[in-house]
Amino acid sequence: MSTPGSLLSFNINDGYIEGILRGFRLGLLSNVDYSNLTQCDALDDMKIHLATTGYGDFLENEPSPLHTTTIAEKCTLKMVEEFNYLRANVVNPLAQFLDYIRYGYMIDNVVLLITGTLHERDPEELKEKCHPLGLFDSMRTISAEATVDGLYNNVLIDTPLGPYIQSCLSKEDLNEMNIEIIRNTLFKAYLEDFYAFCMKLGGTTAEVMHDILMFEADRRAINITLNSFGTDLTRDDRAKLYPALGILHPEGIEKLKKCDDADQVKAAIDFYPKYRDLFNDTQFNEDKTLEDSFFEHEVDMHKHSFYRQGGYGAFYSYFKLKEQEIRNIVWIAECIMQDQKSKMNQYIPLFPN
Amino acid sequence: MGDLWRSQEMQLVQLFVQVEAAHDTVDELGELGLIEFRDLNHGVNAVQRNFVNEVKRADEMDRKLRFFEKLIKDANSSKDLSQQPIPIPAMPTDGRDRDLSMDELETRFEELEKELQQMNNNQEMLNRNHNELIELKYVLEKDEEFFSQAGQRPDLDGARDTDLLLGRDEETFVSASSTSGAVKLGFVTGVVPRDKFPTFERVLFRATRGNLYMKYTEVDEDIKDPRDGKPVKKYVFIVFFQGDKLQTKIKKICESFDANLYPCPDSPNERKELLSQVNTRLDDLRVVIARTLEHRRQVLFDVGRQLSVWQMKVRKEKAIYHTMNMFNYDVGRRCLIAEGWCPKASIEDIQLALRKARDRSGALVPSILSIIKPTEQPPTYFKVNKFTRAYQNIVDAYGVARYREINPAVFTMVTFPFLFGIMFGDVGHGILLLLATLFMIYKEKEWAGQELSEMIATPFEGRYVMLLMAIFGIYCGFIYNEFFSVPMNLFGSRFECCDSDNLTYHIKEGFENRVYPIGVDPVWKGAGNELLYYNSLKMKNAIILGVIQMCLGIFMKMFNAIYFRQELDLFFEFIPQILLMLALFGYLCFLIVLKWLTPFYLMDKQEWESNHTTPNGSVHTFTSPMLLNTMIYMFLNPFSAPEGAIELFKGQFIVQGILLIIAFICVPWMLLPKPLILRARHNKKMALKRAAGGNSAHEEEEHDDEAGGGHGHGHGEFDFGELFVHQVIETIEFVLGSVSNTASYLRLWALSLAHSELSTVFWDMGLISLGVKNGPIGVVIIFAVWTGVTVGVLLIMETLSAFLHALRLHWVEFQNKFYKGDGKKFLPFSYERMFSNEDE
Repeated sequence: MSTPGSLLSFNINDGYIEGILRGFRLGLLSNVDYSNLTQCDALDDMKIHLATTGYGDFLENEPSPLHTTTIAEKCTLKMVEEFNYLRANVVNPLAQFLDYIRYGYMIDNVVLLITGTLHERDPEELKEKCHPLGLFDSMRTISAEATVDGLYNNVLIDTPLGPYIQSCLSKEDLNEMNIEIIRNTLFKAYLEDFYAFCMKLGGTTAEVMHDILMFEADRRAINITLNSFGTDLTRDDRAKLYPALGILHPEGIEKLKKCDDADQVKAAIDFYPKYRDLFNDTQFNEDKTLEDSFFEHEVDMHKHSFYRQGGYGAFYSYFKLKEQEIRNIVWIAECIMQDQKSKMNQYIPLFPN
Repeated sequence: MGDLWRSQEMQLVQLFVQVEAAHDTVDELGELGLIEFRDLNHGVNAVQRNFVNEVKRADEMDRKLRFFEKLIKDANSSKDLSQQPIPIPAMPTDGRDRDLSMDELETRFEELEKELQQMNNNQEMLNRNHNELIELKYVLEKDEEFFSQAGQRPDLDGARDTDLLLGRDEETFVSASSTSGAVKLGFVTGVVPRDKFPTFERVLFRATRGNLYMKYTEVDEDIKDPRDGKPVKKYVFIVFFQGDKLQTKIKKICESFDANLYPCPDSPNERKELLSQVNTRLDDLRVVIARTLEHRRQVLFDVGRQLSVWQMKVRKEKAIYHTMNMFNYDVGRRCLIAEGWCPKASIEDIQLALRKARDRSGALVPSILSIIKPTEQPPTYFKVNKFTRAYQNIVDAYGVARYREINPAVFTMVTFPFLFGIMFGDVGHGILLLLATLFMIYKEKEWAGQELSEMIATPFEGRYVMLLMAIFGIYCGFIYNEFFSVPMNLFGSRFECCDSDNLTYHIKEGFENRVYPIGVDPVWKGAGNELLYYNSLKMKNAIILGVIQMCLGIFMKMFNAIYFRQELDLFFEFIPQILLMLALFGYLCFLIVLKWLTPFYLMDKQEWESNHTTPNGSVHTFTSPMLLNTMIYMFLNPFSAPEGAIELFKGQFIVQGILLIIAFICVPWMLLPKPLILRARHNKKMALKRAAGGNSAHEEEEHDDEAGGGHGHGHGEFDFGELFVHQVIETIEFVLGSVSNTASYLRLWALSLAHSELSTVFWDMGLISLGVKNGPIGVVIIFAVWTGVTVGVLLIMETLSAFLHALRLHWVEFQNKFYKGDGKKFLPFSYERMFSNEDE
């Protein structure tokens, strides 16, 4: 079997769909679009603008006044439509690759549902909040489960997430602490699995996804560490959550494991120029959080995967970029709604040239 | 030559319109549809334009209209046959929408939307209740069955002993629980959508670790989703379990699967009672639902009657404000300034429309129309009718004519179907095509404006092209004397079969001085030298027609040059080009005709040979001269006769030599003077400019424009190199093209040969030899096959290929002689255009 990513055989199965994808990529909002959007005074103006972009008349049948949630919802639907179109037109292994993209959303949904149930939210409402890409059949039964074991045995066992949760099974009741652990365990397992899958595919896919997933893992590790300060999470528990890949792995992770405050984290990653720069960015710029720098770096990386021909990395990147674009649109919309014009320009430009 | 010869003269006009009158003015102009507005706010983004709020308002109203339309369509698509569909009349054309006021409409729409939404909500609620009752009914009925099956006829279900045992337990439990309540068996019953059932069952099984007993059955009728009215298949289920803790869990799971749970009384009597209650309530509810539906229908009916008028109004309104957004707004004078192109001849109409608009709006200051000097090429506008449109489309598909240049569509109208006919010539096929076309023309009124499938729409659009194509096909069929490849002996053949060798034909008595009046004598068909004869005829025809058409194209270049006053093009392009063409290929045509007219067969061979001895005494055998060789020797050996050649006319070889010299002179004539003269002019001008200190910049630009007009680079810097290369390319293209284009016309012969050979094969090999041999049944079957093949291959595919080749001959061989085709189409702001192109 030929490896996907070999230029000789890539187009046999995936050429068409890659063409479609690159077409979608051209539909991402340009800088002019953003500058136009930021000049809007009302959400209806945004609607007019978006109608001139790839989004088309997606808001056509919405009664005004619009809400940011409607915009977000419709944008997401648009993305889901694109995803489903791609997914329906591909064969393995690209089909499986696209499914891996969905798993990420599924994990988010699982965590969202558990949290929602803990806070006794209306299941109907929770369902609407779920990302449509991460829906699965028995999803809503989560609300009936009280323990991690139950969660595994009754809900996740049939889903692709099943194997991911096995490492943190316990009879414990679900609580805030558990959720975070579950989330991170799931993600850790997911990233490792996805990484292994990409490496198995080889070729350009492996090269591109290597960088992306490494970064993803490192970001997770850093975030876990930073977020764990001031919580009940013990060092030992925390140590289990670090993904076993990334540039930080293993030396950097070892250092992170011992950290107790933000300064130590900073010291720990001082040996990694890439992350040091991102950290430094936030110190010079008051408005910028570490999260923003990460996002910016991520966007940059995803953009680069489009420069590579004949791999699946671009598929992953497209949906990440699209997601960022939706975040941007929603951010701008929120700024308009809350009359915070000054903050409007803090969106993360996808194509800042 | 009318409206088609050259495009309409256009003028750039500027309108000063009072803000108050602007709306009505644009409205009138849209009705008139003769002005193309220019976007004066280029670069201003959509939100910052002046009338964006009005556009938004119209958008919003449009959305409401779409909402109404959707409701009506939904109502019409319901399967209730007792109700007539709610009609939506077509868009009116009588301007009824004029009297509507947007403000009134807006409030009306608002109210209607609210009312309809309210109704929808009520409807949904009623449906929900209705569904619940129905589900409850089924739950009761089915549960009754479950219980009775288990309790009274256990042996029916013999295969599953344990289940049965459990089932009997249930029955005892039910009766027991009503008395003591000591047994810890409970049950939950309800309805769940069928598609979720398998997962539901599995999850329940897991959640209870298999400690449950479940029974289910399908609901007999589809339950409608209260929101979108789609039918959903559902299952009634009943689950027995042990313990209270499980109950909450099961209930939660049910909830998460959209299962509706219903209380079911324990005793059969209570169940019966409840069932009858449910039934009466259901009946009541049905009456209520029917009433509300009727009311809703009434409202929608009223909406439907007006819907299209409203849509028209709203869309016009949107278009008007979109157009007004392209105008400049002079705040100080409170007026709008518009610029646009309009045909010169229509200025009067526009003035009239402006006056009318002023009266309508009651503005104090009349609108002012002034003609301004254009800075760019005006758009191209041809007035077409339903006949000429299709031909214009053929030309436009290649490129829209440059402003005021000669429109090849005028010639295309005749030459296109004619060239098609030459390739398609067959009376029978032509008649079939004609019938199909006449049918489409007959259906014209009915089909116009309807949405046709693409397969039909394309020929329907070109029905008038096809009409002429069919007629010319029939005409050429007569010339070739073919009717489904069979020759027609209408006027009596001149020849008779046969001499003793069974191959030679001889002329009939009394026919010595008569030739077959139209077309080819039928006797050629089937003759031994049929192909030789037809090929020679068709090939020569193709060359002659091709040369004529190309010369026509070159003459069009002359007319264009004269019209645009490009004397350089006239003297240094047109004249050498036509000379070259005529000297080589015009001469060839002349030879062809001459050869046709020369009766070689009357010449006495012996006498000729005695008169044509070469100086060294050898005798040439007599053959009629080959034209191909003649042409070749004209180049190889000008001025002298090749060995053994026969003169077609006296002094032929001298003439050929002279023609060749002329042709050779033409090449540098085309190549050199034009760029050199342009350079000389430029140098002179530069010198003058230096002398005058460069104060006549504007004039110079104009001059440049004229000089470089033929190349589209007029505005740029004068670049001799580029100009010269351009001229070299053009010259090479023409010289080589004159050969290759002439050869290209041979496709006329090739396709007509293919067509006639194919139809001969189908007829002779298929119908005659196969069919007749196999008796009457064979004839019937083979006839069906022959008809299918004739329609499929000869009518449809051959029509397409002949069409394509005719198209190519026009686009490439004909139009490249003169047609620039780099204009832009005139797209006036017109309601008519807007509503007819809505789907584009």
